Amino acid sequence: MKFTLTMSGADLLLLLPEILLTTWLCVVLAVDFVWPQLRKDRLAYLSVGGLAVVLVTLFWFDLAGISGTLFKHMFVVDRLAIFFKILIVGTTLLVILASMDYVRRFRFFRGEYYFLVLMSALGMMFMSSANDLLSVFITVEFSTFGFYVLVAYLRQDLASNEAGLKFFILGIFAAGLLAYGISLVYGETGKIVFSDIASASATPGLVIGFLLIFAALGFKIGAVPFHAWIPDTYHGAPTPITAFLSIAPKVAAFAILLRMLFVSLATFKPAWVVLLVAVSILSMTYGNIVAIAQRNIKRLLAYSGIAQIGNVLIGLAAGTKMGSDAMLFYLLTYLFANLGAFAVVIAVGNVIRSDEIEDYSGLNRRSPFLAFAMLVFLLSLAGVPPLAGFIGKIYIFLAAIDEGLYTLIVVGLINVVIALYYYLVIVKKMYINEPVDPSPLRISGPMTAVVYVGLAGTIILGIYPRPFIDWVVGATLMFSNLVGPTASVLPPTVLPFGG
Amino acid sequence: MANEAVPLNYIPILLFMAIVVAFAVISLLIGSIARPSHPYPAKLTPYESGSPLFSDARVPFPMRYYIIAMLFVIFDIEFVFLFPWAVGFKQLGLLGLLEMGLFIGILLVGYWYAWKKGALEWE
Amino acid sequence: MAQLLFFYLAGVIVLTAILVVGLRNPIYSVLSLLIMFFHVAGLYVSLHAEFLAAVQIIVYAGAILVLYLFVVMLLNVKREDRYHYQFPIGALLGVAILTEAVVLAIQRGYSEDVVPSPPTSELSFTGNTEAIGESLFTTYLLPFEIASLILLVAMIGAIILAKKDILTR
Repeated sequence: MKFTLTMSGADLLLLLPEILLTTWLCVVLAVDFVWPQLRKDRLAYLSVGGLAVVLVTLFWFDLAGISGTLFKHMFVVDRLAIFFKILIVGTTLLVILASMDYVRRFRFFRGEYYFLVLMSALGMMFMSSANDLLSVFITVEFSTFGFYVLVAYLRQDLASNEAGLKFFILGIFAAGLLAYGISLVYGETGKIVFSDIASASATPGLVIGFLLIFAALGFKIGAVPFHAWIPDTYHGAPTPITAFLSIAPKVAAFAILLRMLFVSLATFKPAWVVLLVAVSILSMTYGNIVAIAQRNIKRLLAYSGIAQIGNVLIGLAAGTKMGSDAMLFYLLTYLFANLGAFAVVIAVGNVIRSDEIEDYSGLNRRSPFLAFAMLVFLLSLAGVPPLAGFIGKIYIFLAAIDEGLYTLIVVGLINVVIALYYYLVIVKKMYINEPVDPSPLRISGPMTAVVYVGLAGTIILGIYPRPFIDWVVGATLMFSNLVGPTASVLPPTVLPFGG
Repeated sequence: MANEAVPLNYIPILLFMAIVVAFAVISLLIGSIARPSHPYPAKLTPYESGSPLFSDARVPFPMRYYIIAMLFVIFDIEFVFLFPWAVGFKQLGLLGLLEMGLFIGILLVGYWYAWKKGALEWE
Repeated sequence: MAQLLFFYLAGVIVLTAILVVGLRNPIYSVLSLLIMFFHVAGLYVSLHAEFLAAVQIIVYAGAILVLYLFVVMLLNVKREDRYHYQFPIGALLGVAILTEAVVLAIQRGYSEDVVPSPPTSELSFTGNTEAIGESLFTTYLLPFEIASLILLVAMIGAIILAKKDILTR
């Protein structure tokens, strides 16, 4: 038997961001337990520094056009993977900055918190590069393991324990579905790499296998029939983890969904479009309607997140190159707006120790900056011009129109109105109601930085989206052969603001 | 050998298992047949001397058992991965050594952590 | 003969798996799980996956079962603390999925040609374990290394969640 693995320096280069992060998180862990007396915010800056280096490496990859596959196509580095990795690493960086004050609430294991966040980020980076079913399973589990612990990190808090338990039980259930689905697909085809599966015929085992895989990924993105864990988990988890959970794992799961649907199952497009349309409609409608009744801002953002995922699924349901572009762009806008909104929730929660919407009354009097930031983020989530969310929604609706998914558009537009209602209720509370305690809120430096980044992203993506659209269009070039109009650039009519 | 539908070379192991089960069953059976059986309530109490029970014997185990068991599982899995590596050690060569070194190195970080945090201590 | 062996092993696996969730005493559940693990190992042997069978015994029957037992004793679950309200829904879903599987099996009709290619002929010359080692350290190197990271997370996560009395200094 011969040992046939040849790895050159060029191959290792493809793994460079992951290798850097792995080394770095081991360093962070070791620094924490070797010097326990080191202040934990130093550890946070250490993590942020490492992530910044990884981010720079990823941007260099993107600009230099470094791409390739490793391990018989199991690990792929292309512009799509790099796009998702940039999103994930960027989110992680901001989440760590936003966690620095919150970490003081933990009585134990403050240092390990950063390690686990970095570990989850590493898992999600591997997820974006997964190009076969085995990698999908192992990376999805890897990225979720850290979250199981992080969600239950507030050990003295019963809600956090409950959140951790629910997340864990439903998470391992999803893992079981994923493993079963993968085994069925492998049993039917004997192949695991996505592009090899593309030639398979639609046998019943394959269909059930893929349905199970989608159910498991549905858990990860929190789309409607599989959303049951979201509200309680989001509510009980430490708020920075809620923010992290609401963005990064979903982004990474979309990377897998994109590859699976657009590469492996391109020939079965009519079948999965129906499925995605249904899931999208359910997610948008359910998320928005239930969000109206929420009294807790974290629960509200949880339900609005379900609805936003419904919006993202519109792009996936379009099933075209333009659909995937729109989806990527939408994820970008969602990242900034949602992370920003959660940053405000963390900043407010650190002072008033409450996440009830009622306690946001008169926020404008207590901190005009936070109130304004929240206003921008909520309006962007609702899709009001000239903010990022508006361009994102228009882009995604246009992609759906090109495919003639009119039902989806009508439902989507109705949902925009519903969402606007409950976002405006918060805005009204912040600006019109009187505060109970009018003392000004103090915000720390890192927190302000995160809010500024969110604001900058939301506004720049709204007024000058062109470079970002070029970026997402470039990232999905591999899907150009897909059926449907090849909309390589957004029609100029869509860009009323400086485009 | 490897293409038979039924792995016949495992029959000795099956025999062993059958002997183990039969031994247990037969010993218990002989005991229950041979011994006299005259139960009465006082005889059936846990302590025939008559001293009363203080509490239920079923007390919750301390958490540290769980940590030890968890660490055991993790290093058990590590061992399982070591096995095919050791079998193919000559073919795998230097690169294989490096791969396994990386694998164990990452786990050693965790071991070091557990050590430092006192997870391996009983107190 | 091979069919008979399969149906015996599969039958016991299904039966003990039902007992695991159905029995009221958690210790009995763990013991029937043990029987199940051994029969799964037997199934692997009948498929000539000797290494997997050994792993099944060492890891599942040896280590994971001990963990289960500790958890059962840790929680000290009394017989009454069971949640059986979901039984009707579970039964309904189970029947639905079973029907699906049966439909699948009928449509498939047990045709022999769809069975994925049997293990390469290489296997008959070298051992099973060697073949696993070969693919584990070449093709599947990345999942293998990721597995060590998963074990690292699991180790640290378990300590964080279970170790109550360490104060961060």
